[in-house]
Amino acid sequence: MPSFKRVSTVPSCEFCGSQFASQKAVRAHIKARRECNRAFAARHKSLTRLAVRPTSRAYDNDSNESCSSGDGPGDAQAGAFIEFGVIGDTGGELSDSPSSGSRAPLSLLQRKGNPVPQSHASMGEIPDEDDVRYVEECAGAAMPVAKHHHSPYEHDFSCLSADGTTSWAPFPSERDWNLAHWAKTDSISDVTLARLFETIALHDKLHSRSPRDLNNYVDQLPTPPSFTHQTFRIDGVDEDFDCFYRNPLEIARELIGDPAFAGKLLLQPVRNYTSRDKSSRQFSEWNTADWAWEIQVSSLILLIGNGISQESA
Amino acid sequence: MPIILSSDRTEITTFAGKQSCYPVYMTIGNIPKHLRRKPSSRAQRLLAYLPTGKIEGTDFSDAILRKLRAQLFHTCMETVCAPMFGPAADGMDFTDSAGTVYRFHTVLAAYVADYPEQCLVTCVRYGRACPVCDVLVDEFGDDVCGETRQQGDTLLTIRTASALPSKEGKAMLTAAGLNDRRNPFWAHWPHANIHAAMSSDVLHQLIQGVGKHLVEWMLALVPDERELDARFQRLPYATGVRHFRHGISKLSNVTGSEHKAIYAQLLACIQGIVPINAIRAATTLLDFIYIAQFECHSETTLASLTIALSNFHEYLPVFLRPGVRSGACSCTSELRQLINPADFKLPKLHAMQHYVSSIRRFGTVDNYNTEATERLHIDLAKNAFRATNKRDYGTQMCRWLRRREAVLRFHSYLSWIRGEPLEPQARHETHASIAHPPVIVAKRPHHTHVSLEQLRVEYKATHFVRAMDVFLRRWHQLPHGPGWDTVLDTRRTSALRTISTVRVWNHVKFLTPNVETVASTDSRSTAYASAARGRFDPVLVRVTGEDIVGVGGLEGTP
Repeated sequence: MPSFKRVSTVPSCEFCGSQFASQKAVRAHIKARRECNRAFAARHKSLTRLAVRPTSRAYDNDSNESCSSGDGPGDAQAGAFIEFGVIGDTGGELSDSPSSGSRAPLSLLQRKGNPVPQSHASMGEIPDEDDVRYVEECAGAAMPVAKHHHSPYEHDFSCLSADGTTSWAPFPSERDWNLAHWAKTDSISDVTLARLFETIALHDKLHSRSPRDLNNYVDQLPTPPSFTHQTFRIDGVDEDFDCFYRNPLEIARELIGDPAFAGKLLLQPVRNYTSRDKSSRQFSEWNTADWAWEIQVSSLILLIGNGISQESA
Repeated sequence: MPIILSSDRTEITTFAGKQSCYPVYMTIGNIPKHLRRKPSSRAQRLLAYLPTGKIEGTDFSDAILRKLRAQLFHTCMETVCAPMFGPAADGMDFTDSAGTVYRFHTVLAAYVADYPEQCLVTCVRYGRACPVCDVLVDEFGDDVCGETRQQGDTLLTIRTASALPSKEGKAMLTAAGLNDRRNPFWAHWPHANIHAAMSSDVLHQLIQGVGKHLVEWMLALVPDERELDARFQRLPYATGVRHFRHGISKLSNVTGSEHKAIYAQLLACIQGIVPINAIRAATTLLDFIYIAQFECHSETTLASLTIALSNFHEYLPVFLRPGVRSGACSCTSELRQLINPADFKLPKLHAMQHYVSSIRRFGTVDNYNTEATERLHIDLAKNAFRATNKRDYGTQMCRWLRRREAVLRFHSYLSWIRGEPLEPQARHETHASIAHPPVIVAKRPHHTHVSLEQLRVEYKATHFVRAMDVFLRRWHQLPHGPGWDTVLDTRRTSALRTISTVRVWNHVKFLTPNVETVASTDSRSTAYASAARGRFDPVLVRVTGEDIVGVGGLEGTP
């Protein structure tokens, strides 16, 4: 059941509590007073993030630990069940009364004794300065399946530094690491580097003696997805065709686990509206468009299919 | 998890030789688009170097060679993509940087490529059919949009046609606009529809596509090319706009940014020398190009996009009759070539039909821009090739890339555990609205002693003294005087009179919040005012009121 939330606005500064005659005066005050201005900016940022972040609801660290790999309908997927009914009509409108199709999975769930989460497809409101954005989330998507103590990066690099603090291992010193970083990212060739080693006396500053040493250190780093080399032949053509490729799943794992995107990943299909009656939709990111919604629904159908077949089995 | 693939053949040798490289890049749609299109955020990773498919030393016919090349491409791509087929249906667990595990289905969302590449991927006949819908070449110039092709139908047609006798099979494929390619790589990818995945490509289709043709048509339509060039030359210098000192008709190898600059000035320059409908056509087309690139779309903007397109088609026939204003300049009239109606049978012209549906389906077009991948070529193909000894370079390129990625990875890990932002840009982004004042001037002025007289004559700042009076009054919150006459007390007035020289900055940087997406950074623009070059940029400043982030206008900033 969709629920509308409206953030009430009273003519008072919500950061320091002072009362004002009008909303305009509040804004002027927030603008003028430094502390309130900061607080406002911070809140503004966090609120806008809310729209794209998976919320932590229906997520329990301990209880979900066990169902990390199972195909069976765990709690997380159960959340998806309920949602399906509401988001099921892909026609674009969120119906106020769930269609009949939604009741079956709902009752299925209640029979299993799982707690029914409070609100799933909620229309949260993001107060913006000028326009108000209404967000309809395809809930059930982006449900965490489990929680590891280590991120993939930590896992990869933990073997390097034994004490867990910042160290330059496998590089002997920060200088060695900085030189390697510069050489590899700015495409400095080994020949150039060798001349650098020859020209300047780096012995008292660096542990490495040659580009070869640096490369050895680099090769000791945990490796990114490695390349496979495969040769193709065509009948009747006397030539080998080389194809170098890597496993796309490993690349996907890299991208998802990359701390550069921490907290920024878009995991949930949403529909953004500028008005409450959903008459004006907004499209921008991938997850605000139709394809994301449709594909999420179709994979949920798959999940439900799996769930039912396992239930009956 | 929406998988976005892109492939593009590119030359890797700079001058001599003809070594080319065929990289395939991969990214995922979960990464916000402003990060995805930044090369420094490394959101696009190299997936494979495909064989370039130059088949030499054989006596096969061209048609067979084309077929072999396509088969080679599909075989390689299937080998590369095969690991994703299973997880697309069943899902697979991935751990994010916080250690939270999510279940993802690796589904093919979009394939970013230019038109020849699209045809290769979708098995559609090059120049004969649209890779997305079932419209054939005859209708490319019309304002029609066909049914989206379905991957299953395509496979079925190819399979049925191959079972038929060769002549009937060929006829069937021609009618469908397809090529006989058995086993395309996407055949076994669950949930994929390769035809719908062909995303709109602003760079090749609009900026260097239809827009480029528009400029050509205009050049054919004007009575004298030299007049158009002269008009371009006469335009004053302005910020953000390239000035064409030699006009536009002699340009060759026009880049995307040059095209953008031409579009910015074209309308003003063609006024009066081409038929009014040609101007209308240009207006609607430019509307389309600009609206299509919005970073956020609403129903209203999509509607105006549709209207712009249909209006453009309404005015398009004007380019078919270039002789309307004959006699204006007899010397060039024979040079003016007649535009062939067949010129409108362009795949690019037809591709405009798919923008609205593509935006609805996959989000705005900046999600799938080929400009980003063109940039990647430099890093991941050209630089990698330069690091090799140019012989058997495949293995060496992979080693170079592996070392580079290992270093970058370690770097991002180190900065992460030390809690530092990964990029200087990222730091700028997080504090954009707080740390930076909206106006930035250099620490030192460009000219330290400019007399008021110079200011009035050379810089044409005729109202400077008066404006200074007004400013000082407001700064010291003195009561309003009637009109411009200020009520400064004598002490300040006399102080102002003693000023003989002022310090002058030749350019000012303005930071304006990017209103289109919340997460992206402020955009920076510089306004120039230089007496020596005779260039003064107009600047519109909103002095009072609030800007979009609520920090305030420019009021009160020193």
